[in-house]
Amino acid sequence: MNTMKLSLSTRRYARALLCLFCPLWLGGIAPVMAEGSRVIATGGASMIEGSAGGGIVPWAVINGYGSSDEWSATAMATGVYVDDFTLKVMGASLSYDNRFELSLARQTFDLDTLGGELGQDIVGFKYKLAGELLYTAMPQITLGAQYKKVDDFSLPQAVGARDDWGLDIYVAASKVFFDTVAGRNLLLNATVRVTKANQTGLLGFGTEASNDYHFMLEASAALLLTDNLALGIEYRQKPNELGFAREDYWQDIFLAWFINRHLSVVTAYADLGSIAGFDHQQGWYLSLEGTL
Amino acid sequence: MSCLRKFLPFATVRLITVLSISTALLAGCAQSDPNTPVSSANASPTTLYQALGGDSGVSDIVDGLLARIARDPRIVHHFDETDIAIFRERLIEHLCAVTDGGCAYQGENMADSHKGLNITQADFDVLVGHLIESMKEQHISTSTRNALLKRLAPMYSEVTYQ
Repeated sequence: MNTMKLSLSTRRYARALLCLFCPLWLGGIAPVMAEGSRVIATGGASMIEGSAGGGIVPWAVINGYGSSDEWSATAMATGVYVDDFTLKVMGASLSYDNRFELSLARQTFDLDTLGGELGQDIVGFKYKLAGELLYTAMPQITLGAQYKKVDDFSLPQAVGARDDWGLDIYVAASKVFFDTVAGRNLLLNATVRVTKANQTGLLGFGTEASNDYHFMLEASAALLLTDNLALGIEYRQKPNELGFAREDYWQDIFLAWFINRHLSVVTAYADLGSIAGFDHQQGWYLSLEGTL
Repeated sequence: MSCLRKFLPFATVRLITVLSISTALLAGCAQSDPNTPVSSANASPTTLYQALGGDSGVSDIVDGLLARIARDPRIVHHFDETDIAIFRERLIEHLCAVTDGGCAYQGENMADSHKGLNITQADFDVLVGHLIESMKEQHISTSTRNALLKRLAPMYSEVTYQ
């Protein structure tokens, strides 16, 4: 890790940190962005790629509490601390009409044991196609895209990645079932993603041998213990294309606390499997989100 | 039954149904609370209406809801032309019918009664939020609140954008 790279990443971090306050600034200039009308917890949290969802899976929900003709903005900071790696994410998003969502995420992946770091920027877009999370028999169905670009391609290229950027496209379906388990509401989500990303893109996209997209299945289930406390599990399939090391499916168990309409905290225990030759990467996930 | 719930704050409606079979145990307790809804002395299933507090409970929920609507500039304009007293009676009757309280709803159907009002998703969301808060104010349990929302949620498509 040379000094130049370090200072570059520090600058990026500072920028991302500044962006944490973007929504506050937006709130100042946009009186239309009053408190959103939707029911608490219906925006989910911000997952590691910046999109509204759980921790590792994007859901069909649109971030924040904006309903029809209303705006919403979020800012989040997330850390995932597993045995040999640390993933830090700063993100922000803007949504309108409970239909469109634009998100930005800046990921830094510290190779704690190996030394050095990887990083990528992600621009996400979501569009609600049909259904309503709470009110219709049809689940809320959303089309999403995530454009990803890694900072420095040298390590991903050295381990066999083809490109330093990629596009993930997914369709997600989410539905809340009222009064399901012990009178509690249950959220179920299923997401189908097409991707070329190795370790979500941190190790580049595609391989020297293959440039194919892969269909991946992701799922979440969460029980709303109270109106603002959700206990859930998530599961995310991932491609396993790089020859140098195995890539495993990811899973986690999370507890999300929607303190009020402006602040939420998600804690999780995550099992990320084998990463870059280090097996059994397990550890803690912590995410804070602010919403306008 | 509300007396019983004080001792069993986390009990589900179903659990209370089972427990209310032992009416002998309940009788003395129920008399201490004048607001207790009619207890199912013949061990018939407890209705959602009863879980909401029966006549007085549902009236209190509706009054809390109306007070919240009155204070909310986002939606109060929808009621400009509404006779609130009649609306209140119709809403109580509707909730009673929907929750197996034994009432026959006499009003127009949902789609007709909302025609031309241009109720948006945001309006509906606001109303759901106020209903939840009003039920919380009346100390309605999470499971009972969810049971009512389950029955009301499907009305979304008949109420909005008519």
